[in-house]
Amino acid sequence: MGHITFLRAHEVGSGFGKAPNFLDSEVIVELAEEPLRAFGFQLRADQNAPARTDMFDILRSAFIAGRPVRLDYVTTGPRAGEIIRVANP
Amino acid sequence: MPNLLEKTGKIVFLRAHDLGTGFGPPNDQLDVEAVFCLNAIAEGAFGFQLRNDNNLPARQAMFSLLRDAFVNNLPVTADFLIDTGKKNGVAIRIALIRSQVAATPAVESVQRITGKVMPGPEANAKSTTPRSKPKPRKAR
Repeated sequence: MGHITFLRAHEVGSGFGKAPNFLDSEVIVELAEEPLRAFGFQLRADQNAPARTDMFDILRSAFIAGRPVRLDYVTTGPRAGEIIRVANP
Repeated sequence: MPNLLEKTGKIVFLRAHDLGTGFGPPNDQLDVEAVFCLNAIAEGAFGFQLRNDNNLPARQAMFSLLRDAFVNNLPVTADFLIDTGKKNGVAIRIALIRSQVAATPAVESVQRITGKVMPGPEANAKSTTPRSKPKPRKAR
């Protein structure tokens, strides 16, 4: 859980970071409380798109309002995680 | 081959337009549907396509960040591809960045395969709330 300091959306497939912390994601988040770790999820035209869009909207509103967010993630590298849930605590 | 550059600034112009109408003069035209200008550059603009294809969700997310930055007057960081000698470039990454110092360390919990969420380490720590003062004894 923490406050978002970095919120990025980018082109499909361009990814973020280097191995072993590479994230094959279109949305990237960094938290003030975890400055050395990056989180992300894919935002592609597939069956996950509606849910992922809503997850992104929660991140946007939290960033703008300065609210903390709760991220559930699966560790994919020592300093990288794939987000599976986003919540307003 | 285009150069990959990055620029940070506040948005002074944000436009979305019909597919195929483009932006810019013929020798520096962007075949895009979303266009924005930053106050950090005197001339030129950035844009990206916003079409009903596989890139649509990511591009909509990029556009949403631009809207948020414009409405809230926040600086935005854009990575863009631009040909040498041109002033208009194609944006491929949009980021909002806020410098913020963490007041408290992150709360972390671990989820096992069973689906049960384990409490974070602070849950086992002793309570930090101060004890109430002992009541004075009654005088005999």
